[in-house]
Parts: sequence; C-alpha cells; structure tokens
Amino acid sequence: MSVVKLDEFTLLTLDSYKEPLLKRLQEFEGVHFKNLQTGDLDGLKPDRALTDVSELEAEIAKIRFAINKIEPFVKKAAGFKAYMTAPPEMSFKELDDYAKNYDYESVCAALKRIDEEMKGVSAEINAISAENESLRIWRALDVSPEETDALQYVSCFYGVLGKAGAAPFIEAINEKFEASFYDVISAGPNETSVIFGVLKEQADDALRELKNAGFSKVTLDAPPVKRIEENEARLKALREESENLQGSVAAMAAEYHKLLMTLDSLATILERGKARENFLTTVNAVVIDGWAPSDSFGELEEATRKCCGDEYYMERREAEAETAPVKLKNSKMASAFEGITRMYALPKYGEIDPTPHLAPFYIAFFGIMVGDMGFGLLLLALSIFVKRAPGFSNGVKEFMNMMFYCAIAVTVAGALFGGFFGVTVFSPLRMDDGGFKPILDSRLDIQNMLVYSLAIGLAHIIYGLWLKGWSNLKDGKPLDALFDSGFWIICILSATVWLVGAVGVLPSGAAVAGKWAFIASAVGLALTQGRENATIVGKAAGGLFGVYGITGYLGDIVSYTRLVALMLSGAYIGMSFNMMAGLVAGEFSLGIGSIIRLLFAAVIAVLGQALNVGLSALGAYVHTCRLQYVEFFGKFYDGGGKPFTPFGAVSATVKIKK
Amino acid sequence: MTFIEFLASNGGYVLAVFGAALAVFMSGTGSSRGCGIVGKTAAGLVTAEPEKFGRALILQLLPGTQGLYGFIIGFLIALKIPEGLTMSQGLYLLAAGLTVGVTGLTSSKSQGEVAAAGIQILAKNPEQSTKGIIFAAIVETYAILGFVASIIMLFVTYPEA
Repeated sequence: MSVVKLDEFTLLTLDSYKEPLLKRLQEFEGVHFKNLQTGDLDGLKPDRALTDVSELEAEIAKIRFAINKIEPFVKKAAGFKAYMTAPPEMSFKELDDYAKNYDYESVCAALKRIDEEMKGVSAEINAISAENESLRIWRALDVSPEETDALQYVSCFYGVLGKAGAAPFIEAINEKFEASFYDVISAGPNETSVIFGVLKEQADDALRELKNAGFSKVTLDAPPVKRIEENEARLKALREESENLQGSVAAMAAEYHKLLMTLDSLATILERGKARENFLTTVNAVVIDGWAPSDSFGELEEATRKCCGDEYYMERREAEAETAPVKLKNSKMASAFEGITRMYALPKYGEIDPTPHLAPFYIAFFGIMVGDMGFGLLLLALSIFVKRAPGFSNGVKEFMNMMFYCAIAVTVAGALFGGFFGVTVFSPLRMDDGGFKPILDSRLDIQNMLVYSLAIGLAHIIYGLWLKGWSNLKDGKPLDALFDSGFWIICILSATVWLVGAVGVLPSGAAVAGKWAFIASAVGLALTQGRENATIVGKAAGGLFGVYGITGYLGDIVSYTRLVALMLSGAYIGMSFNMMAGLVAGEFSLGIGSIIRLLFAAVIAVLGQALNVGLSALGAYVHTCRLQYVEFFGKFYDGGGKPFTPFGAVSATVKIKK
Repeated sequence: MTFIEFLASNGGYVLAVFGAALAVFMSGTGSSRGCGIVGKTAAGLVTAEPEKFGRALILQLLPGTQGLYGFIIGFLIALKIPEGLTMSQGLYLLAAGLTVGVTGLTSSKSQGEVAAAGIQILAKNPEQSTKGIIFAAIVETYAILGFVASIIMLFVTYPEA
C-alpha cells in the first residue's frame, strides 16, 4: 500500500543472448532499464541501436502514409457504438510477429502507386481545365487556323486585346491599313478576341503598329471549338479514372485495421531496438542495469536463466533512494486516486505515498462540494457505463473509476442536503413551526455548515501533520517528529479549544487548559523552529518566524469554507433553473399552449441542470485537488520521484493479453 | 410629483432594479471580455490543429460562468421586486447585485488571461492541458465567493419588512 519496493540489478551476459532476452523482458513488462551510457563508462562502449532502427522508422512512416490515405474511406463506428467496440486483443507474441506475417509492404506499395497516379490525373485535369478556360473566348470563331494560314496574299492573325477593348485597335487599322479586315470574335470586360487580316507585305508593319494598340498575338493550332470538345472528352475520361482510383483505395479499406495493428507491431520491435541505447558492450558481452519490483524479481531471474543458460552473471541489490524510479501500488479503491498524486508529483523512492491518505478525504470533499442526490446518481451511472464499456482508453477509465467513488459520496451528501437536481426532496427533520427541513438546510444551516467545514479542515490538516511526524518517526527522527508535528498539533488543537471555550460552548476549565497548552506549545515552537540555524540570533529569529506560521494555519483552515461555498453555488444555481422552468410552465391545463410551455420548461430545466452538473463537478474536482495539494500536501509531502516505466510492448490499437 | 418624491416613495424598487440590472450587466460584461480573450487565442490554435477544438472550447467556457452567476442573482433579485420593497431592502438588494457583479466583472478578465495561457499548454503539451483548466478554475474561486455572498444576502440575512 505504498511505493513498491524495487531491487536494482546488473546483468552481464553474451551479446548473442541479448535479442531473445530483450524479447522475453518486453513480454514480462516489469523491468525499468537504467541508462548506463551517461557518465563514466569504465572503458566499455555504449551499445548502439542497430541500423534497423532507422529502417524500422522508415517502414513506420510508410505505414502512416498508407493509413492517412485509407482513413477517409473507412467507415468508423460513431458515438455510442464506438465506445462499445472493444479493441483487438492479441498476445505479445502475436503482436510481435504480426508485421512479419502480414504483407503490409504490398498494401503500402499499392497505395503509393495509386496515390502517384492520382496526382498525375489531377495535374492533367488542372492543365486541361486551364486550357479550356483560355480557349473560351475563341468559341465563336467560324474559320479554322489551317484555312487562314493557306491564304495566298493575306496574312491572318489571331490575338487578344486587353481591358482597353477594341476601340484603339479599330482606330489604328482604319488609319493605316485600308486594305485589311478584322472581326471581333468575342468581347468581354477583360479580354477581347479578334481576328485580323492584312496584305502579306504589310504584315510586319501592321503587327508592330497594332502591338502599340494593345494587340497581342495568339497562336491557335486547331479550330478552338474542336479543341474544346476534345478537351472535354478527355476531362470526362480523367474524372472517371480518378473515381476508379478512389474506388480502388476504398476497396482496400479492410486493410486499415491491419495497418494500425502493424504499426503497433513495428513500434514494439522499434522499442526493443531503442532499449539498447541504455546498455554498455564489449566486443562479445553486454552490461544491462535496471530495476524490477522485489516481489516479481524471480520472474526476471527465470527469464534470464531461460535465455542465457548459465552464461550470465547477475548482481541483485537494494534500490537506492536517490536513483530508483517509483511504482505505486494501492488497494483497489485507493489506486483510483493515484492520478491525483501523479498530477502533483510522484513520491520519491522511500517517501510516503500520499494516495491512500488523500483518497478518503478526496471522496468526502468531492461529495460535499457537489452534494445533490440527482447529480450523484447521474455521475454514478456515467462512471459505471464508462467502466463497463470496452471502447474507452485506460486514462478515461481510471478517471471514471475515481468518479465512481466520488459519485457515491455525492449521493450521500445529497441526502444530507436533501437536494435532487436542485429540488429539496428529502426533509426528515421537524422544525418548530411544524414544517420539515433537510438535515443540513442550504438556507437555515449555513452558519453551522461553515463551522463543520472548518472542523473538517482542522482534521485534514492535523492528519497531514501526523503523517509528517509518523514518517519522521519511521526514519528514526523522534525529535523532529515532536518539534515539527507534535508541537503544531498541540498548538492548533489547544488554540481551537481555547477559542471554542471562550465562546462558551465548552466548560470554562477547558478554555483555560486550552489557553495554557497553547502558550506552552507556542513557546516550544519558538524554541525549536529555528534549531537548524547556526547562530543564537538565527535560532531565535527562526523560532519566532516559526510561531508566526500559526497565521498560515489559520488561513489554511479558513480555506475549507470553500466546501460550503461550492455546495451552495451548485444548490442555488439548480434551484434558480428550476424556478425559471416553473415560471415558463405556469399553471398546467390541457390546452396546446400549456403543453408547449411545459416542453419549453423541460428544455430549460434539463439544459440548466446539465450545465450545473458540469460546473459543479469541474469546480469540485479542481477545489478538492487544491485542498489536497496546498493545505494537505504542504504539511508532509515533497514528491519529485520519476515514474517506473517498464520496458514493454508499445500499443495504441491492440490490447495485450496477459 | 417631483423626482425626489418619486424616489422617496419608490426608492426600494429603483434600487432593487438597479441591483438586478448591475448583477447581470457587470458579470456579463466581465464574462464576455474573458471569453473573448480566450476565444482569440483558441482560434489561432484551431487554425493549425482543428482536432483540439473540444478542449480549447472548455478553456474558453471557463470565464463564462461569472455571467451565469450574475444572471442567477439578477433573476433572484427580480423575483423579490413584486413583493413591495422598503428603501433599506432595496439598498440591500443593490448591494447583493453589486457583490456578484463586481467580482464577476474583475475575475472574468483575469480568468480569461489564465485560460488563454492554458491554450498554450494545449498547443505545446496537450497531455498536460488539464492543468491549464485547473489554473483557470482557481481564479474562479473568488467569483464563486462573490456569488455565495450574494446568495447569503438574499436568503439568509435579507431584512424582512
């Protein structure tokens, strides 16, 4: 129930056993390699990843390309159905051999070929479309360029005029070339196409003059109308070809899932290749160093014996706190909250694991902050659905596993506050005026609730201080435990007794006792809190500053009133939406207007409560984390360990059968 | 009837109406500004990575809750108006409206800035984007406190005539 005890090992064996050994360790998934290639190598050489690592990476890139091409044609299950589809399962060996047994290369090659053909087709489509676009202004031409080229005395030119239009061109012709003809084929706002004929001896002159008038010569090879028709026929054929090509990609959609699994398979093999970047080698031997959990160390030894026979040497020693990675192990319920610990920081190896200690508080705080039976049952149903549905990722499932316990607390707290989707339905207490009220009413009991929240905060903080003292005791530092935990606990508790006694709730003797205990513990703190400073002045100043820390505790405890604030905000938002819905619905009658109003009211209530449950849950999640991280962890927890990441299969699609 | 006479006889209503209006208007102004700040940044991210729209939207919605708090307080104040109000009740309702209004107005902008920075987390390190949401939600605490204080004014310490 804490940080898992690890053993460190150093393994020396022949290089030729490395590959089968790595395969076995990858299946075992219980070893975290130590990188030996940093620091002093003791004359050994770093083991380089094999050349096939870069080859594998190239293969993976090819498959990614193929997957991207097929993806648009794959029919995927959407929404609810997607969550109900289980991922494919296979054993480690099946996954490892998958790429070998599936001819992914021909699939990738086929897709690559199709893709290139498609690129060619679409380039041609673009070129032909552009040509047709430029020929459009010649559609009305009724002579063929061949005919005009054959004329004996006349040169015929085809050309385009710019935005200036035909006027300057016509003017130039009329002025200088009387023995000529022209015709405007089509006149547009940007382009005007014209044909122009002139005596052959005047042709050069005419061209020069007309150029100044905006005429630019165009060479037409075939009659434009004919050319356009040919092009359109070709375009039709090309479009058909493009559709056929798309169809042949779509026909390969069945390969999509196989490609995804191949990706996992190759990534797993790649991982094995990259693991070598942790090892050291001589010519024939390899040195491997790493950690494995103590209770499964036997499996590591057996795997090594099976792969290396007796040609190996293994040293097993206790993991060192400074370097060892951290693996958490907790009860089924507490392990659901490991994510909360991880989000802050993993404990260092040898440090206390806060997860089992924060879990009960987390559940209670979350429950109080949301505090509505309807929301609780809704969250409960959601979390059970997600836990059961096979299509969710492990991260989501872990989160919802946590939500499962929180949802139970939300329902219980909801019974305390009496709310069901913002409506007070559970009011067991009889009031003086004969009415009934919930156990904790969100209007009448706010003051009491604030006091209770402070008491909860006091308990949480004292528990945190106690944990610090306990871990100091465990480390053989009883004086630190007394000074840094014992004194503070006495100080806070006695101050509370004194204050509560002064209000007159407790017998007067208690207040006096509390006062003197408080003074004594404050003196104790003043004497001890500066003990690590070197000089007398330093010790005194440190001690006084330590006592000043009491104000910090005051702030910490007041911070727990957020439990009430979040609960109230959820309750009143819910109540307000219900009220609005009630106003819209009005008096019920059987008329059509009343039914429509009722429908609108239902929409307001449902949307409003949906918004409210989302806001409440988000607020509760964030503020519960804050109380754990700031008020609770601040008392005893440092963290900063690096996670134990076992060398294993890499799978995004496939689930590995154990 | 002079203006002063009007005020003297209807002062409670006038103040309460202002309270309701200011609660909705100030927190709404704050929220629209906060959501706007995040929205601009989010739009930049979604241009490059459209698949992050969902999580960017959550960040953009965070500074929007103040508007909701203000709206609800405005609604609850408005429900009290037909009851017939004394001057002191009207003042009380105005104060209740201002409490949620001012905290909403100021906290939304700050929350919007934090959430916009959270978009950067989403862009560069998407696995950690939950932390951006947490940072932004911390700012919201003070809007919740303002909201709850207004609720207490309306339901617990409200001076019955």
